[in-house]
Amino acid sequence: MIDIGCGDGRMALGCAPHASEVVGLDPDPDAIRLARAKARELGSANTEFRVGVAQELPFEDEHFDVAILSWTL
Amino acid sequence: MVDALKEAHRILRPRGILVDARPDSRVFAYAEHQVGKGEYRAAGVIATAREELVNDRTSDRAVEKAVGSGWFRSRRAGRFWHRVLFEDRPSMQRYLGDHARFVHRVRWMVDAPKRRKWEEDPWAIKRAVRYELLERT
Repeated sequence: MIDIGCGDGRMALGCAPHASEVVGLDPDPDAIRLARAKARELGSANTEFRVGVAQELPFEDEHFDVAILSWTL
Repeated sequence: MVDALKEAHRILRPRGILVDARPDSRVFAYAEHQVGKGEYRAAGVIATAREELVNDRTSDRAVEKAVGSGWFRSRRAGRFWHRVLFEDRPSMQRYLGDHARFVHRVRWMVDAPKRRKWEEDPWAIKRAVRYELLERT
């Protein structure tokens, strides 16, 4: 799954135990740094956080089962 | 916003689910005074700032366009409430002062002497969140 506009990763990290792979994407590099630090702290092995924008997602077509736009639109 | 929805459609598998969750400005938020352990009572209402209402309507139109274009079909929609907790009323007021989403003044339902009496008590803002589950076609 992907959390588009993930901020500090709260939602993505909350979903991680229920998914095989979670990607968090946010345009704010500081938020992504924070999300990565939280993931390390929690030992979350199936999460990845990237800087990026919702209008240009750096993924192949039909890659995810679930996408979350939480406080993003 | 429509571009973001188009991208979400592209990266989702057919029948994949897009979750759209955001503040629900169609209803007021409430300033609540704590009256017991885990119990709160509404003491005022808080409106959404005009600019945010405009943004929310733009988001609504984007979702309508995504559904109307056949990228997604709506599977379920609803609303839930959550509370943001504050240790006292000045803390809540500072939050409102800093927060662009809400107007900064509470429309009070209780009189000033009561508010002064409850000044140091815990408060909460109860706000609505709308959600929609959209299935990728």
